Amino acid sequence: MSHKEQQSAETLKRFYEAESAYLVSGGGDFSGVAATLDPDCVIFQPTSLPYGGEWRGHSGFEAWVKAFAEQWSSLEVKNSEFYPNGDVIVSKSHVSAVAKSTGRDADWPLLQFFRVRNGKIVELRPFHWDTARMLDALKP
Amino acid sequence: MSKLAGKVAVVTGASKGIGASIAEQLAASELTPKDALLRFYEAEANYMKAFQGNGVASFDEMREILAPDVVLHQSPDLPFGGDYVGYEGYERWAATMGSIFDKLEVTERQFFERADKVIVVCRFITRSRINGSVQDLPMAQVVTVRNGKIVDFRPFYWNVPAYVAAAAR
Repeated sequence: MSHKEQQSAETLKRFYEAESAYLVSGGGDFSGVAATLDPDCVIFQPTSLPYGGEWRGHSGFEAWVKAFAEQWSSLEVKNSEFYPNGDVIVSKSHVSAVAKSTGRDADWPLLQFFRVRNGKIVELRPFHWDTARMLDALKP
Repeated sequence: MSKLAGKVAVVTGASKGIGASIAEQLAASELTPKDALLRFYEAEANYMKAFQGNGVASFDEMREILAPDVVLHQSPDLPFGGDYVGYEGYERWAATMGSIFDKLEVTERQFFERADKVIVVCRFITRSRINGSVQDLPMAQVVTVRNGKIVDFRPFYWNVPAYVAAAAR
């Protein structure tokens, strides 16, 4: 892994930590997450999910995290392996989450496509193993 | 890169028995996971072409690049969901896909390689044979390679309900 790729992997680790801390605290201070994001960042989510679509900029990202936190009360990303290639890193991991409305545990393999520029995330596209199964966990 | 890359090996008696097996393993171990996957794509394209042309296709070329115990993991809620094991499993999966879709196209592939795995992120375009709907969505796939052969595929479809709708009458 080149120095630049190593730096990008560090950004991703900081992002995961900040995201988990934000969710555990019940929202509020977004600055930890924002510190890992480029001002022009964009996140794409599958349209089938309640928080599907495109979310742009720091405010868009924060709105997405809030929408996510309405559905899931906790989130843990484990066993992350990073696959860098130029300015993109794909992260392969396993997610454990608890559905807020049902209290049901859910876990699934996850791939995330991150584009990183100057140590900040500019694009994020998560590939969930089975979005239909996630919807089942969220269904009251 | 393979640790054998750039090295020269002369295997005597390579036409049969142990010699043949060593020669085969050396040839295979030169393949990085990405190389193996590119070879698979070529074999798969030939297989699909023959299948579409004649309704039958030889699986020989696919056998050269897939391990006998290859597993294809498909998200359980897909209309083609579940685990498909071995050559028979792979052929069954291909037939299932052919019964649902009359067009399957993969473009804009990007590769991410590490140790024995390669991750492909791409655009996957399908057209339903059942209701004519078109799915033009991103897809990512983790492919594991051992001794130059693919042992495991795990594709991540962007939106599983879109494929459920594609199979609805």
